[in-house]
Amino acid sequence: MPALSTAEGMGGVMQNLPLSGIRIIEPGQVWALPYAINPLAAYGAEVIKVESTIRPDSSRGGPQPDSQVEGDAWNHGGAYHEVNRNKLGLSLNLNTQRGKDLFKELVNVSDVVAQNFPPRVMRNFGLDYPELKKIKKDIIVLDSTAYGSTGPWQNYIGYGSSIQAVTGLTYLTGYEGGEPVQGGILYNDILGALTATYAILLAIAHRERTGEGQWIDLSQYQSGVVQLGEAFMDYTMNERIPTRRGNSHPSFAPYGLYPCSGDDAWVAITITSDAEWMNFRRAVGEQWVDDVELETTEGRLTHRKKLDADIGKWTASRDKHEVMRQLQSSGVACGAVNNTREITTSPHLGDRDFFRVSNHPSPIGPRPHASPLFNLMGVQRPPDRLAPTLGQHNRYVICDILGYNNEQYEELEEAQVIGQIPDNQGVTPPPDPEALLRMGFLAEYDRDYKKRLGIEPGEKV
Amino acid sequence: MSGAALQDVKVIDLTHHIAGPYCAKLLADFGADVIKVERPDGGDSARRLGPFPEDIPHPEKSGLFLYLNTNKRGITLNLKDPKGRAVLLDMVRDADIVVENFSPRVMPSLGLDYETLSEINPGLVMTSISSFGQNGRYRDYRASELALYALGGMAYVTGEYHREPVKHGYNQAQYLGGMAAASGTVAALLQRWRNGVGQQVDVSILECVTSTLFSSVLEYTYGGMVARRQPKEGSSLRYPAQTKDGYILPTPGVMGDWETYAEMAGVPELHDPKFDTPAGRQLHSDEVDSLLKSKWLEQTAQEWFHHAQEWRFPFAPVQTMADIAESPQLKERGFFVEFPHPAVGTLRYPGAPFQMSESPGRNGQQVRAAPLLGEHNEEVFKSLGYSAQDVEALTALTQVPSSTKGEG
Repeated sequence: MPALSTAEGMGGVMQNLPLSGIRIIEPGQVWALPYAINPLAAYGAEVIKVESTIRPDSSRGGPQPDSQVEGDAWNHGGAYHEVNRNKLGLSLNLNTQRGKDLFKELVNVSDVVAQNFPPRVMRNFGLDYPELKKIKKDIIVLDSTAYGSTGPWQNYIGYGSSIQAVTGLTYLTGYEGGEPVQGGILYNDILGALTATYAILLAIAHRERTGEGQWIDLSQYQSGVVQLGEAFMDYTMNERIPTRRGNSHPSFAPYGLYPCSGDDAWVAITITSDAEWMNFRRAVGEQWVDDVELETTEGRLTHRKKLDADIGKWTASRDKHEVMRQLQSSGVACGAVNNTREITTSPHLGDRDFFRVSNHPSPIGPRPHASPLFNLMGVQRPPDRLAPTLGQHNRYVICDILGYNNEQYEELEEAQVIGQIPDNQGVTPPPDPEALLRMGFLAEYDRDYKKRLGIEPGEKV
Repeated sequence: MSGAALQDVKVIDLTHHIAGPYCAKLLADFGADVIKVERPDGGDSARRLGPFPEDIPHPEKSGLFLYLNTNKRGITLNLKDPKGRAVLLDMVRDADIVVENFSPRVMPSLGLDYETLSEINPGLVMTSISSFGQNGRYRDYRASELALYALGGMAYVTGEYHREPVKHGYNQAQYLGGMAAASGTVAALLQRWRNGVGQQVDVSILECVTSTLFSSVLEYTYGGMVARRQPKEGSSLRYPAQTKDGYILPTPGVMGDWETYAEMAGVPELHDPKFDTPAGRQLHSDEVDSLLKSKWLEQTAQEWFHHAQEWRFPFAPVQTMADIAESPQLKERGFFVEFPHPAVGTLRYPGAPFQMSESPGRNGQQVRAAPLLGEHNEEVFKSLGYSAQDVEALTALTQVPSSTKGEG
């Protein structure tokens, strides 16, 4: 078993990280909130993830390694491991008075509480900001909710897909003249998470400066709208309702995705200046690009449709990666449409060590996980510690941090205030990849994916 | 309450377009003293991008620029001119943070790489946002919003099964980069407050796009499954449905069971054992779809939204910008801010993504409109100790060779 990550245990390494010495309690669930806390844990905060045996984090379920459910499957889910690395695991039944009391004791020695239940949940537990502030005056509390903790919709629920619809993003995504399209289903969860990370860092900065804690009321609805500022400005300036325009750009042409050789293969070509057009012209070297009318943005916008058709003919017989190499080397913004295999094996991301392999015990084995989205170049980030199994650090938190003795600890276990085994051990069996492929839900199924990722058993990682 | 979170933090904003300005806006909106440095010949490229009032381009009327540069002061400097560069170095001596989003070649070519700046100010945090990051083989490649959506994998899974992929509306990738960079900036600042040492922060917009795929990436790394755009058959509950007046996303979520869903929707025919399981609904999706399709048309999107939420289903209306402008939730939360600007007058803008009880920032009544080009030259140059004559000479420096600034 690896050494426990007590602040002392990690010695000097932890002390050199920007968030070392900050303790965060995370009664978070699913993706949005744990994802927000993940970079803070990577950069040194001591994060205590609070679940319970009654209600373990629902992200523990999937995806299961190799789509196989075995053993303590609730500890094997890939999404859970992706967002909970470098955290400590505490299972605490908040429905019991002793569970609530322990939570409050922990708040007393912590800096931040970050959670994403609907507003009434923590209120009903008596663990909302006004109550926690009584325990620790300078505590920082982040409530991440779908619509915000005040206002007529405060108790409404929403998932990433719902938030996408309500923020205007769904309405603005789709083909020209077509219906609204839902984009990546978790998109707004991740966006809400990035926003929550920033909010917490701001509150920590405020406390460093003034000694004050505070309450952060984060609305995923607002977090989505602020990313569509210019669309809102169009409405506010012109009382015009912006709508879908596919991949095209209002100010530039050509700007689109073009078909390449092979099945479902595409490449993005985008020209945003006359100089770039001349680069494109040189790279293509055929007669159809020589038209003088195309030398200005105005001309290219006028002839957009024809230009798109001509470029499509030019790309159709070419390989998408080859087009990208050729056009980039001529100074044209161009990018192959990558799938998840191409991303996870990307040589460029490899150069940057973006996906780092963690060695999990069997049956998970070695798996690549993404790095924080901000790379602090002056910091030597320590290797990731694995996400905790359910209740893995109960003893450390209760005995070492809160000072309970062994006897008291065992009593808590007996009273099922804490525990390691979830009440409901069922993990929904993952669908059979072969069947998904047959039904058209997958582009491809790589049986040899571990080899492609360089994580085959026995391989040196 | 002791003011905004980043009060007294001094930021030099060397950015253009979207990602960089958004990062600096997030710092400015929460209290930092941000000075935006623009090139004298036309300034930030965002000034030339719409929306414009009545679609008439004007460098002081770009809705994109006005939104992304609130709460900043603005000066013009030609960084390629030794005098311009010297003024910038003067500013760096006294700054906490520099934010830039040039292509990674540019700052070193101007003699403004992190090593040089940190010699002048060892506590300096320099946040560098770029399409591909500060290293790696694509570092110097050109990019755009669409190219990043393509390369980052989000495009491939978005859109209709038989058509070309489609990107998310507007400039999501750029904003993600700005948000991640704002976090990195404050994290580096916290470290600096502890040990006095600054550092460079490296943010790649490509990595931000890739990260929003999340579970699709894990389906590959944990199971070899390559996600794609989904066939529409059998999954209508995941797609916007037409109502009496717009679209609703009729998602059942994971909380409620099918029987309750059928009851909520008011379609008793859905109480049929053949529809009980997801697999069953998949198999009989045509029937499910046709039963629900006509039902949704009976009420408005807002009516369905409130009705379903009462039943604890996470329905959501597919809102337009007009719906958002009129949203009772956003109004009651005081989300929008309204303030005057000399060229476009008083307009309503989106406010902050979250409310902080003790650090309200400048999203209350004290919003400063985006700066006119060079608006604060005199004020800033004088505060650096330049004489009136110097200031005049500096403001006259407007001859700049053609572009090194690309998009993104």
